[in-house]
Amino acid sequence: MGLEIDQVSVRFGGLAALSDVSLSAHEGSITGLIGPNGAGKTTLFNVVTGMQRPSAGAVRLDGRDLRELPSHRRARLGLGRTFQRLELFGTLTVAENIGVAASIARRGLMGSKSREIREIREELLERLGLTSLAGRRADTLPTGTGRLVELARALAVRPRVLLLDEPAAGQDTEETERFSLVLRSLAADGLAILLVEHDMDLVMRVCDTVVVLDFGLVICDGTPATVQANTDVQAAYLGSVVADA
Amino acid sequence: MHDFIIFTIGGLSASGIYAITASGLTLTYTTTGIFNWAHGAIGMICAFAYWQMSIGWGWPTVLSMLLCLFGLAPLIGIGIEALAMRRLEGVSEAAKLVVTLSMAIMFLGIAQWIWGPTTYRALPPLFNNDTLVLGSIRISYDDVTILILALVVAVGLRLFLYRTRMGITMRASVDDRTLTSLNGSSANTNARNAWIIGSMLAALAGILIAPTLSLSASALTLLIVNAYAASVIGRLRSIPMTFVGAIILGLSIAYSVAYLPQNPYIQGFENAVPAIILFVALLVLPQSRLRGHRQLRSREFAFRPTWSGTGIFCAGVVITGIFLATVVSTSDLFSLNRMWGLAIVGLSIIPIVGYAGRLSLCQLTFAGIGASVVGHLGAQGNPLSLFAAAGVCAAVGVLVAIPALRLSGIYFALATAAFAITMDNWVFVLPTFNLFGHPYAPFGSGSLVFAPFRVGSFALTSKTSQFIAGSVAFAILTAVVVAVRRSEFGQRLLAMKDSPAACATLGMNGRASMVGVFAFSAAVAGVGGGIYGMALGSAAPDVFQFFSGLTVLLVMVVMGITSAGAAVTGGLYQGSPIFTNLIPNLTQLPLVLVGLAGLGVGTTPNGTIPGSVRPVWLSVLRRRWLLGFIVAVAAVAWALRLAGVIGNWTMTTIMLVDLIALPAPAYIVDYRANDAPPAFGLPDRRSQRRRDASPVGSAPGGGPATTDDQMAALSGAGGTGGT
Amino acid sequence: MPDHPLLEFRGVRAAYEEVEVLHGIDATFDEGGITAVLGANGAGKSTLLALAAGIMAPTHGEVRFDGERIRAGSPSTLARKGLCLIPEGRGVFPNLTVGENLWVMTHSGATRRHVEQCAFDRFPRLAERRYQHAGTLSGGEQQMLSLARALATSPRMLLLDELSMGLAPIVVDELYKHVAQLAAEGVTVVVVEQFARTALSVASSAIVMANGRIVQKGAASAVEAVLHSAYLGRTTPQAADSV
Repeated sequence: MGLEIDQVSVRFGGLAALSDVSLSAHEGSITGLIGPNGAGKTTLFNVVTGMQRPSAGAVRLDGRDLRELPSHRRARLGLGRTFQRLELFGTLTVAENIGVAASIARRGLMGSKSREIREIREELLERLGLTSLAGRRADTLPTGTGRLVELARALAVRPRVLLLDEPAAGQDTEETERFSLVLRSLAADGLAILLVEHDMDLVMRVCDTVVVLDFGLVICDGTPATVQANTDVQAAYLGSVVADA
Repeated sequence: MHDFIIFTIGGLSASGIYAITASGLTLTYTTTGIFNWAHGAIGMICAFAYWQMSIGWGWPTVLSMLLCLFGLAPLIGIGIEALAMRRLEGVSEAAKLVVTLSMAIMFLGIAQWIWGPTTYRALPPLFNNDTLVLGSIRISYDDVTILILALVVAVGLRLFLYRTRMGITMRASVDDRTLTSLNGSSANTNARNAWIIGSMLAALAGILIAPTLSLSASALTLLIVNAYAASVIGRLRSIPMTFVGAIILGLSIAYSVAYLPQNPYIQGFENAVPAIILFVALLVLPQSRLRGHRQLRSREFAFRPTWSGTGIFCAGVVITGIFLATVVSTSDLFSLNRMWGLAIVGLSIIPIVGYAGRLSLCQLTFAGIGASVVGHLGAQGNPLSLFAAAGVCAAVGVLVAIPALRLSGIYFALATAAFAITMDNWVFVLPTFNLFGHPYAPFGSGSLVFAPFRVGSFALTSKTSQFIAGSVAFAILTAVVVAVRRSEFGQRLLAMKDSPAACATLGMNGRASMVGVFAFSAAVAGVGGGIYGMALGSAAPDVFQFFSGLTVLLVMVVMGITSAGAAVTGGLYQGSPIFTNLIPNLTQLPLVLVGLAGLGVGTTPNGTIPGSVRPVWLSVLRRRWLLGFIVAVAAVAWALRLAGVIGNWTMTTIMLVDLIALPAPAYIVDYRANDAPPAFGLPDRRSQRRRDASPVGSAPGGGPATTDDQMAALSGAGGTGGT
Repeated sequence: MPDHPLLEFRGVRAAYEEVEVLHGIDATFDEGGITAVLGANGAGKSTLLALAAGIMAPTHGEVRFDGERIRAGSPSTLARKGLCLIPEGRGVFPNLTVGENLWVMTHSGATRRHVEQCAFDRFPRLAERRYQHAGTLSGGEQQMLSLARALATSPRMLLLDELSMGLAPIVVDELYKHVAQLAAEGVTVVVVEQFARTALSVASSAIVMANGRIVQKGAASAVEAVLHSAYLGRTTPQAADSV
């Protein structure tokens, strides 16, 4: 059970952004998705969340094919995501950002469930250490903190699968440390997490499995240790020496 | 067949003029990203200048024409770019629209000021009605000239854009403005060239069409609608397709005049043809093709109103209503009475434009619908007819919203404009027809009479009672709008505006919310229209004209699109007799003044009230003693006036000093202590503190509108953002 | 040799809206050679280039080019003074033909013929594509075109942002050979590059950034020694010690 990506391909004109990518994210585990810029990681997230139509392949959530569903329907089935470029509701406060998300999932008649929404909001603020910032306008936050708000907002709709696009970019060492604990505790709660991240220390520490994309192809997958040792991965990440430069 | 050819030639000649003006519009839009609502007005000014030179002063025709086309028009273009457009990077579509709209209104004011509309002016045809005879067909030399000029413009633009460095650089800047400047071509120079050429084309079209329109300032300004229709068919990018659009438009108008049956139901339809073509073109052309410039992150913010603040504000509104009703003379109150209806229309703009970020240009049209409902159903003065007005407007709002909300940004605005103009030109002026078995004419035979509202034996017959009731209605609706902003629905609207992508991935389908807010805004406007109609006593459809509605929007954006205070200011500005009393000879001055205020929107994108008034009064609210003192002084002045001790002028002076001079020192003290949000475009001094200290629960405040912000927006668009 | 560096950052801080992304950068780039700027996404590399090109203004400190303080909002003036930035992934005007793309650069007196000559001599492949829209070129050809255009006015300094983005290794290799050639001809080059090993193999010096700060400066070889740990994490057995 969880998210299953089955032989997904995306072509932009003549360019193959993704070719036959298959991977899955299971309940209670964290799957790392790494690769150089432009490898197709964000495109894959867009395919999964319905923001990009694949040229071939299927995405399944708990065995259900998501093909024809628009983004918001997929979200209601339990698919949550954060964005590489922050997509906060900048004019709203931190608390409102989370509250809006919670209210979408639990729309009662005229706020009859407002107590439940408040509870969810307080719990998430607490869990991500944002309580002291609850009244702050979201677009005045530093990037690292903004990413926590995006995560809290995604969690407010109670997803079962969570796609995180570079959630630690812009966080300092201490914040990243705390963040890795949050990720582990979310996984322990039974979430399936797919994590795109450039901070390799974080990826290697928290992920159960790691998948490496390069030029839209899966070039390697396995445990963090096997991936780190793989020479293809090193070449993909560091590039190769320019001959007789 | 003979008639058909005659009509076709006439239609093509009109097409030529539309093509010239629309290609200018397309050119400035693609190169600068600014939709120029003043395009028609520029042509209008140049046509008047041409009349002045050639007829007024008797200069040779060719000299006058050359001076207008190559002297005046380029100067206007340079002026627009240098004075108004430089600061517009990163402001919202609403603010951009308001700046060009202000120019249109200002030009209109200037034209009517210099060339009073009461005098009849006409431009003779260029060639004295001489005709070219081809068999049985006679074509006037004017038509031939227009067709040749249109061809020259088409070929000239093509050569310019593909065969000169300046033209290629302009095309390059359509692809990527930042990259063009990185390659050594100043973005300002490019924009200036675009404005110069755009103005010249507008001037040419204005001069060519003036002989057929008998030099009416407003008719020439409204040519913009025809130009938009042609440009939208050209997808706002392609000059050749714009020419095709112009031909479709010119022929449609000519054939509809020629072949549609002559009856009063159809007459208005003919006038609405350009607007209808615009609407259909917007809906039919695939969305993806209508992609303009990427919308940058705008610099505005929406203040979250508190209940206590709203309470104080509403109480203040009602007290001000009672105050004005007791001190203003009866004749002035008659004029001032219009303010609450217009203020409510201004209020209706807040949810749709301020919260949802959708630029609706038809709020005054909904007010017209509301007025029509109230005038017919409330003939006995039944105030419940206001609810009926709200209901009907909400229903019409849903019908308009469902097709129009597919469109985004400026295209949505154009669709609402097309709706408004169709209503103005056609529906509002329809004679009696059968509606659900009842004879119905939207505005009767010319104008609709309104009965004062009455409940039981109590009727709002006096202007004083109407005025106070208007202020109460405004206060109630303000509270309703605030409740919407604070509700989950309001938060969802702001969320949709901030990030549609995030909303989708949170499971939110924004369509229902958008239709809802459009209907809600329409309903508020409808109530405003009913109250406006009652205040007027009798109303003709031209009260609800599209351009008047734009003035309401303009004042809202200048004062602050999310603030109810802006709505009051707008009502006061349009209803107040103060200008006509102070300067009876310069009736155009207020138009020019509001135009000037609108030009400055780029520097204070949040509007005057949130940007300057609110910060100052926050400093007053912190000092309860000062607030008490200010209120006491105002109350004493009022009491003295009521007792007849002082006159209106003395009281007004005391009030102005009380409300402006007393708060100022408090603000200066706070600002010096780095403790107040910035106002009047001052830099934000709190940011130093904020960066170091833990920023818990800081007051809502946007960044100052500095160059840094602009540059951040610019580089964000350039994709060089480092975060 | 003048007594000042060609490009200099002095205590530069920069922010988007109210969010600071560079927290005090001091760096100098002397005339000649290639400097690689390395670091993770979000480290502030592109912001650094935006500041140098005058697209963005620092909130504190100053950036100097050839001893003169850079005024924000003046990328076109800087370009005419010989500082040229090729921004990330989009160095061409896609709806203009190759010829027109080059034509844009004919300010400051260069003729169209001269510009095309320079470009086609260096990149013969572009001559064949002269009437083709730049958007239809392959990724590598697009980057060649942007390099060619930048070179048309003989710049003193070239800033390259992620030249290799989305390109196959063999194409990247070819592009960097051109870059190395340019440096040999005397153009000062700064490359922001995700493929650290590729960049370091052509660079003489390097700067490593993290979270808006410079964490390491030095000769390219010294930086290369600690690459693996910086990019692929430190838990691996064969990696060197931490940065």
